[in-house]
Amino acid sequence: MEDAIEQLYREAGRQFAPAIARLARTVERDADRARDLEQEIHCALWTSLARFRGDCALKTWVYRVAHNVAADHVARAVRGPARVPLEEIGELPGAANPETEAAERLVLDRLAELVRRLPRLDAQVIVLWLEGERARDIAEITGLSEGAVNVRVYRVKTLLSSHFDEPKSDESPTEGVLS
Amino acid sequence: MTRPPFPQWTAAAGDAAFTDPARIAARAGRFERTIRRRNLIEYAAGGIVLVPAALAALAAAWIGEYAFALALGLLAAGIVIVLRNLETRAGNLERRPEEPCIEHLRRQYRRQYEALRSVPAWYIGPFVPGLVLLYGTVTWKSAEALGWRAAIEGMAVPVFATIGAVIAVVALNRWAARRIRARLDALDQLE
Repeated sequence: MEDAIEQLYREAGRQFAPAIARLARTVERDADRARDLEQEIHCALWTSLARFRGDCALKTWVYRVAHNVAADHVARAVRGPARVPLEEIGELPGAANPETEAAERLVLDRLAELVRRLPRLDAQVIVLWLEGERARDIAEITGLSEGAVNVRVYRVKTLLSSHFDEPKSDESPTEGVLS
Repeated sequence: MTRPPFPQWTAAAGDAAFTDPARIAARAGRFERTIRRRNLIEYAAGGIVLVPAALAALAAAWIGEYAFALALGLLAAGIVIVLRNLETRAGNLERRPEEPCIEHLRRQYRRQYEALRSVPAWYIGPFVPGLVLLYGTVTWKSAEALGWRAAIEGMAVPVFATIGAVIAVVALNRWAARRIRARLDALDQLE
Protein backbone atom coordinates (compact mmCIF):
# COMPACT_ATOMS: atom_id res chain seq x y z
CA MET A 1 0.00 0.00 0.00
CA GLU A 2 2.75 2.42 1.04
CA ASP A 3 4.66 1.56 -2.14
CA ALA A 4 1.62 2.25 -4.32
CA ILE A 5 1.11 5.61 -2.61
CA GLU A 6 4.76 6.50 -3.07
CA GLN A 7 4.57 5.56 -6.73
CA LEU A 8 1.48 7.72 -7.27
CA TYR A 9 3.07 10.56 -5.32
CA ARG A 10 6.22 10.43 -7.44
CA GLU A 11 4.15 10.33 -10.63
CA ALA A 12 2.13 13.34 -9.45
CA GLY A 13 5.38 15.12 -8.64
CA ARG A 14 6.81 14.44 -12.10
CA GLN A 15 3.74 15.88 -13.77
CA PHE A 16 2.47 18.62 -11.50
CA ALA A 17 5.21 19.89 -9.14
CA PRO A 18 5.77 23.09 -11.18
CA ALA A 19 2.01 23.80 -11.43
CA ILE A 20 1.66 23.39 -7.66
CA ALA A 21 4.65 25.65 -7.04
CA ARG A 22 3.09 28.28 -9.31
CA LEU A 23 -0.24 27.97 -7.51
CA ALA A 24 1.46 28.46 -4.12
CA ARG A 25 3.43 31.46 -5.39
CA THR A 26 0.28 32.97 -6.86
CA VAL A 27 -1.85 32.80 -3.73
CA GLU A 28 1.05 33.63 -1.38
CA ARG A 29 3.23 36.58 -2.41
CA ASP A 30 5.69 35.98 0.45
CA ALA A 31 8.31 33.44 -0.73
CA ASP A 32 8.69 31.62 2.61
CA ARG A 33 4.95 31.28 3.10
CA ALA A 34 4.58 30.12 -0.49
CA ARG A 35 7.15 27.39 0.18
CA ASP A 36 5.26 26.39 3.34
CA LEU A 37 2.01 26.23 1.40
CA GLU A 38 3.67 24.15 -1.31
CA GLN A 39 4.79 21.63 1.32
CA GLU A 40 1.35 21.70 2.94
CA ILE A 41 -0.11 20.73 -0.44
CA HIS A 42 2.49 17.94 -0.86
CA CYS A 43 1.59 16.66 2.61
CA ALA A 44 -2.18 16.78 1.96
CA LEU A 45 -1.65 15.03 -1.35
CA TRP A 46 0.46 12.31 0.26
CA THR A 47 -2.19 11.69 2.91
CA SER A 48 -5.07 11.79 0.40
CA LEU A 49 -3.48 9.33 -2.03
CA ALA A 50 -4.32 6.49 0.38
CA ARG A 51 -7.95 7.14 -0.71
CA PHE A 52 -7.23 7.33 -4.44
CA ARG A 53 -9.16 4.56 -6.24
CA GLY A 54 -8.79 5.81 -9.82
CA ASP A 55 -12.37 7.12 -10.01
CA CYS A 56 -10.98 10.26 -11.62
CA ALA A 57 -7.74 11.11 -13.40
CA LEU A 58 -4.65 11.66 -11.25
CA LYS A 59 -4.51 15.21 -12.65
CA THR A 60 -8.06 15.94 -11.40
CA TRP A 61 -7.22 14.53 -7.97
CA VAL A 62 -3.97 16.48 -7.67
CA TYR A 63 -5.51 19.77 -8.77
CA ARG A 64 -8.50 19.36 -6.46
CA VAL A 65 -6.26 18.70 -3.47
CA ALA A 66 -3.91 21.54 -4.37
CA HIS A 67 -6.62 24.13 -4.95
CA ASN A 68 -8.68 23.16 -1.90
CA VAL A 69 -5.63 23.24 0.39
CA ALA A 70 -4.55 26.58 -1.09
CA ALA A 71 -8.06 28.02 -0.65
CA ASP A 72 -8.23 26.81 2.96
CA HIS A 73 -4.80 28.36 3.55
CA VAL A 74 -6.01 31.71 2.22
CA ALA A 75 -9.22 31.46 4.25
CA ARG A 76 -7.16 31.00 7.44
CA ALA A 77 -5.09 34.13 6.74
CA VAL A 78 -6.16 36.98 8.97
CA ARG A 79 -5.19 39.73 6.56
CA GLY A 80 -5.44 40.07 2.83
CA PRO A 81 -7.07 42.13 0.13
CA ALA A 82 -10.86 42.39 0.11
CA ARG A 83 -12.39 39.79 -2.25
CA VAL A 84 -14.24 41.19 -5.24
CA PRO A 85 -16.26 38.95 -7.60
CA LEU A 86 -14.90 38.74 -11.13
CA GLU A 87 -17.94 40.43 -12.66
CA GLU A 88 -17.34 43.51 -10.49
CA ILE A 89 -13.69 44.01 -11.47
CA GLY A 90 -13.29 46.68 -14.15
CA GLU A 91 -9.58 46.29 -14.84
CA LEU A 92 -6.59 44.31 -13.70
CA PRO A 93 -5.31 45.45 -10.30
CA GLY A 94 -1.84 47.01 -10.09
CA ALA A 95 1.01 44.55 -9.66
CA ALA A 96 2.77 44.23 -6.34
CA ASN A 97 6.14 44.81 -8.03
CA PRO A 98 6.27 48.19 -9.82
CA GLU A 99 9.83 47.51 -11.05
CA THR A 100 8.69 44.85 -13.47
CA GLU A 101 9.50 45.85 -17.02
CA ALA A 102 8.51 43.21 -19.55
CA ALA A 103 4.96 43.74 -20.73
CA GLU A 104 3.81 40.14 -20.44
CA ARG A 105 5.55 39.74 -17.10
CA LEU A 106 3.73 42.82 -15.90
CA VAL A 107 0.40 41.43 -17.03
CA LEU A 108 1.20 38.11 -15.34
CA ASP A 109 2.03 39.92 -12.10
CA ARG A 110 -1.25 41.77 -12.37
CA LEU A 111 -3.07 38.52 -13.10
CA ALA A 112 -1.53 37.01 -9.98
CA GLU A 113 -2.71 40.04 -8.03
CA LEU A 114 -6.16 39.60 -9.56
CA VAL A 115 -6.22 35.96 -8.45
CA ARG A 116 -5.38 37.02 -4.87
CA ARG A 117 -8.37 39.35 -4.85
CA LEU A 118 -10.96 37.00 -6.33
CA PRO A 119 -13.39 34.77 -4.43
CA ARG A 120 -11.92 31.29 -4.22
CA LEU A 121 -13.88 29.55 -7.00
CA ASP A 122 -13.21 32.38 -9.47
CA ALA A 123 -9.53 32.27 -8.55
CA GLN A 124 -9.37 28.49 -8.96
CA VAL A 125 -10.89 28.70 -12.45
CA ILE A 126 -8.47 31.40 -13.56
CA VAL A 127 -5.35 29.62 -12.28
CA LEU A 128 -6.40 26.39 -14.00
CA TRP A 129 -7.04 28.33 -17.22
CA LEU A 130 -3.58 29.89 -16.95
CA GLU A 131 -2.19 26.36 -16.65
CA GLY A 132 -3.79 25.60 -20.03
CA GLU A 133 -6.55 23.33 -18.77
CA ARG A 134 -9.69 22.90 -20.89
CA ALA A 135 -13.09 24.08 -19.70
CA ARG A 136 -14.21 20.45 -19.38
CA ASP A 137 -11.28 19.59 -17.11
CA ILE A 138 -11.65 22.77 -15.07
CA ALA A 139 -15.33 21.92 -14.61
CA GLU A 140 -14.44 18.44 -13.36
CA ILE A 141 -11.84 19.76 -10.94
CA THR A 142 -13.93 22.59 -9.51
CA GLY A 143 -17.40 21.05 -9.75
CA LEU A 144 -18.71 24.05 -11.70
CA SER A 145 -20.54 23.58 -15.00
CA GLU A 146 -18.61 24.12 -18.24
CA GLY A 147 -20.84 27.10 -18.90
CA ALA A 148 -19.93 28.71 -15.58
CA VAL A 149 -16.23 28.10 -16.30
CA ASN A 150 -16.53 29.61 -19.78
CA VAL A 151 -18.23 32.72 -18.39
CA ARG A 152 -15.38 33.27 -15.93
CA VAL A 153 -12.66 32.76 -18.52
CA TYR A 154 -14.46 35.08 -20.92
CA ARG A 155 -14.50 37.80 -18.26
CA VAL A 156 -10.76 37.46 -17.71
CA LYS A 157 -10.11 37.52 -21.44
CA THR A 158 -12.12 40.73 -21.62
CA LEU A 159 -10.07 42.19 -18.78
CA LEU A 160 -6.88 41.18 -20.58
CA SER A 161 -7.92 42.41 -24.00
CA SER A 162 -7.02 45.98 -23.18
CA HIS A 163 -3.45 44.90 -22.43
CA PHE A 164 -2.77 43.18 -25.77
CA ASP A 165 -3.03 44.02 -29.44
CA GLU A 166 -5.66 42.28 -31.49
CA PRO A 167 -4.63 38.65 -32.09
CA LYS A 168 -2.67 38.40 -35.34
CA SER A 169 -2.43 34.65 -35.68
CA ASP A 170 -2.77 31.44 -33.74
CA GLU A 171 -0.02 32.80 -31.48
CA SER A 172 -2.68 34.74 -29.62
CA PRO A 173 -2.06 34.32 -25.89
CA THR A 174 -5.70 33.68 -25.11
CA GLU A 175 -6.57 31.53 -28.06
CA GLY A 176 -7.38 27.87 -28.16
CA VAL A 177 -8.19 27.32 -24.54
CA LEU A 178 -11.93 27.01 -24.65
CA SER A 179 -12.74 25.80 -28.09
CA MET B 1 -4.82 20.24 -21.65
CA THR B 2 -4.37 22.77 -24.44
CA ARG B 3 -1.63 25.30 -25.10
CA PRO B 4 -1.45 27.61 -22.06
CA PRO B 5 -2.58 31.18 -22.80
CA PHE B 6 0.63 32.67 -21.38
CA PRO B 7 3.81 30.63 -21.99
CA GLN B 8 5.64 32.73 -19.37
CA TRP B 9 3.14 31.62 -16.74
CA THR B 10 3.79 27.91 -17.27
CA ALA B 11 7.53 28.48 -17.76
CA ALA B 12 7.86 29.67 -14.16
CA ALA B 13 8.94 27.21 -11.44
CA GLY B 14 9.90 24.64 -14.07
CA ASP B 15 12.50 23.11 -11.75
CA ALA B 16 10.06 22.62 -8.84
CA ALA B 17 9.91 19.13 -7.36
CA PHE B 18 7.80 17.40 -4.75
CA THR B 19 9.17 17.04 -1.25
CA ASP B 20 10.89 13.69 -0.72
CA PRO B 21 8.32 10.99 0.26
CA ALA B 22 10.23 10.07 3.44
CA ARG B 23 10.24 13.70 4.60
CA ILE B 24 6.61 14.23 3.68
CA ALA B 25 5.55 11.05 5.54
CA ALA B 26 7.40 12.33 8.63
CA ARG B 27 5.71 15.70 8.24
CA ALA B 28 2.28 14.03 7.99
CA GLY B 29 3.07 12.19 11.24
CA ARG B 30 4.06 15.46 12.92
CA PHE B 31 0.80 17.02 11.73
CA GLU B 32 -1.22 14.22 13.33
CA ARG B 33 0.72 14.61 16.59
CA THR B 34 0.03 18.37 16.51
CA ILE B 35 -3.71 17.71 16.13
CA ARG B 36 -3.65 15.25 19.05
CA ARG B 37 -1.75 17.78 21.20
CA ARG B 38 -4.22 20.55 20.27
CA ASN B 39 -7.14 18.33 21.24
CA LEU B 40 -5.50 17.56 24.60
CA ILE B 41 -4.99 21.28 25.23
CA GLU B 42 -8.67 21.94 24.45
CA TYR B 43 -9.74 19.20 26.87
CA ALA B 44 -7.40 20.62 29.53
CA ALA B 45 -8.91 24.10 29.02
CA GLY B 46 -12.36 22.58 29.43
CA GLY B 47 -11.17 20.89 32.61
CA ILE B 48 -10.03 24.23 34.04
CA VAL B 49 -13.65 25.43 33.84
CA LEU B 50 -15.21 22.11 34.76
CA VAL B 51 -13.17 21.20 37.84
CA PRO B 52 -14.06 24.31 39.94
CA ALA B 53 -17.78 23.87 39.12
CA ALA B 54 -17.67 20.19 40.10
CA LEU B 55 -15.68 20.93 43.28
CA ALA B 56 -18.12 23.70 44.23
CA ALA B 57 -21.02 21.27 43.73
CA LEU B 58 -19.32 18.71 46.00
CA ALA B 59 -18.57 21.37 48.61
CA ALA B 60 -22.21 22.54 48.58
CA ALA B 61 -23.40 18.95 49.05
CA TRP B 62 -20.86 18.47 51.86
CA ILE B 63 -22.34 21.37 53.85
CA GLY B 64 -25.91 20.28 53.17
CA GLU B 65 -26.81 22.91 50.54
CA TYR B 66 -28.36 20.37 48.22
CA ALA B 67 -30.17 22.85 45.95
CA PHE B 68 -26.88 24.69 45.31
CA ALA B 69 -25.12 21.36 44.82
CA LEU B 70 -27.68 20.31 42.23
CA ALA B 71 -27.51 23.67 40.43
CA LEU B 72 -23.69 23.59 40.26
CA GLY B 73 -23.79 19.93 39.25
CA LEU B 74 -26.13 20.81 36.39
CA LEU B 75 -23.80 23.64 35.34
CA ALA B 76 -20.86 21.21 35.34
CA ALA B 77 -22.90 18.78 33.24
CA GLY B 78 -23.74 21.68 30.89
CA ILE B 79 -20.01 22.39 30.46
CA VAL B 80 -19.37 18.73 29.56
CA ILE B 81 -22.21 18.71 27.02
CA VAL B 82 -21.08 22.01 25.42
CA LEU B 83 -17.46 20.80 25.17
CA ARG B 84 -18.66 17.63 23.50
CA ASN B 85 -20.88 19.65 21.15
CA LEU B 86 -18.01 22.00 20.31
CA GLU B 87 -15.97 19.01 19.24
CA THR B 88 -18.68 17.39 17.13
CA ARG B 89 -20.41 20.46 15.66
CA ALA B 90 -17.93 23.30 15.42
CA GLY B 91 -14.59 21.49 15.26
CA ASN B 92 -12.48 21.02 12.18
CA LEU B 93 -14.04 19.21 9.28
CA GLU B 94 -12.72 15.82 8.35
CA ARG B 95 -10.11 16.69 5.72
CA ARG B 96 -11.22 15.56 2.26
CA PRO B 97 -9.41 17.95 -0.05
CA GLU B 98 -9.84 15.65 -3.06
CA GLU B 99 -13.51 16.56 -3.48
CA PRO B 100 -14.52 19.06 -6.21
CA CYS B 101 -13.68 22.60 -5.10
CA ILE B 102 -17.29 23.78 -4.97
CA GLU B 103 -18.31 20.76 -2.86
CA HIS B 104 -15.40 21.40 -0.50
CA LEU B 105 -16.51 24.99 -0.01
CA ARG B 106 -20.20 24.07 0.24
CA ARG B 107 -19.49 21.45 2.94
CA GLN B 108 -17.57 24.02 4.99
CA TYR B 109 -20.31 26.62 4.66
CA ARG B 110 -23.08 24.10 5.45
CA ARG B 111 -21.33 22.93 8.60
CA GLN B 112 -20.71 26.50 9.76
CA TYR B 113 -24.31 27.45 8.98
CA GLU B 114 -25.77 24.54 10.95
CA ALA B 115 -23.47 25.20 13.90
CA LEU B 116 -24.34 28.92 14.05
CA ARG B 117 -28.06 28.48 13.45
CA SER B 118 -28.47 25.94 16.22
CA VAL B 119 -26.40 27.77 18.87
CA PRO B 120 -29.42 28.05 21.24
CA ALA B 121 -29.81 24.25 21.24
CA TRP B 122 -26.21 23.09 21.59
CA TYR B 123 -24.35 26.00 23.21
CA ILE B 124 -26.87 27.84 25.38
CA GLY B 125 -29.48 25.16 26.12
CA PRO B 126 -27.20 22.90 28.22
CA PHE B 127 -26.53 25.77 30.65
CA VAL B 128 -30.19 26.75 31.13
CA PRO B 129 -31.26 24.16 33.78
CA GLY B 130 -28.21 24.89 35.96
CA LEU B 131 -28.55 28.67 35.65
CA VAL B 132 -32.30 28.65 36.34
CA LEU B 133 -31.83 26.47 39.40
CA LEU B 134 -28.85 28.53 40.60
CA TYR B 135 -30.68 31.86 40.29
CA GLY B 136 -33.82 30.33 41.83
CA THR B 137 -31.85 28.96 44.78
CA VAL B 138 -30.02 32.24 45.39
CA THR B 139 -33.37 34.11 45.28
CA TRP B 140 -34.97 31.62 47.65
CA LYS B 141 -32.06 31.78 50.14
CA SER B 142 -32.04 35.58 49.96
CA ALA B 143 -35.81 35.68 50.51
CA GLU B 144 -35.41 33.66 53.72
CA ALA B 145 -33.14 36.38 55.09
CA LEU B 146 -34.40 39.58 53.41
CA GLY B 147 -37.93 38.88 52.20
CA TRP B 148 -39.11 38.11 48.69
CA ARG B 149 -39.30 41.71 47.46
CA ALA B 150 -35.67 42.50 48.35
CA ALA B 151 -34.51 39.12 47.04
CA ILE B 152 -36.23 39.58 43.68
CA GLU B 153 -34.92 43.17 43.38
CA GLY B 154 -31.41 41.91 44.14
CA MET B 155 -31.58 39.24 41.48
CA ALA B 156 -33.16 41.42 38.79
CA VAL B 157 -29.86 42.83 37.49
CA PRO B 158 -27.96 39.52 37.13
CA VAL B 159 -31.01 37.75 35.66
CA PHE B 160 -31.71 40.46 33.07
CA ALA B 161 -27.98 40.77 32.30
CA THR B 162 -27.87 37.01 31.64
CA ILE B 163 -30.98 37.11 29.48
CA GLY B 164 -29.56 40.10 27.56
CA ALA B 165 -26.25 38.32 26.98
CA VAL B 166 -28.07 35.20 25.75
CA ILE B 167 -30.22 37.26 23.35
CA ALA B 168 -27.11 39.04 22.05
CA VAL B 169 -25.24 35.75 21.47
CA VAL B 170 -28.23 34.21 19.68
CA ALA B 171 -28.80 37.33 17.53
CA LEU B 172 -25.12 37.58 16.52
CA ASN B 173 -25.00 33.91 15.59
CA ARG B 174 -28.26 34.15 13.63
CA TRP B 175 -26.85 37.14 11.74
CA ALA B 176 -23.64 35.24 10.95
CA ALA B 177 -25.71 32.20 9.90
CA ARG B 178 -27.77 34.36 7.51
CA ARG B 179 -24.56 35.65 5.88
CA ILE B 180 -23.31 32.10 5.37
CA ARG B 181 -26.73 31.04 4.03
CA ALA B 182 -26.44 33.84 1.45
CA ARG B 183 -23.01 32.50 0.42
CA LEU B 184 -24.46 28.99 0.12
CA ASP B 185 -27.28 30.31 -2.08
CA ALA B 186 -24.73 32.18 -4.20
CA LEU B 187 -22.79 28.92 -4.68
CA ASP B 188 -25.95 27.23 -5.93
CA GLN B 189 -26.36 30.03 -8.46
CA LEU B 190 -22.87 29.39 -9.83
CA GLU B 191 -23.51 25.87 -11.09
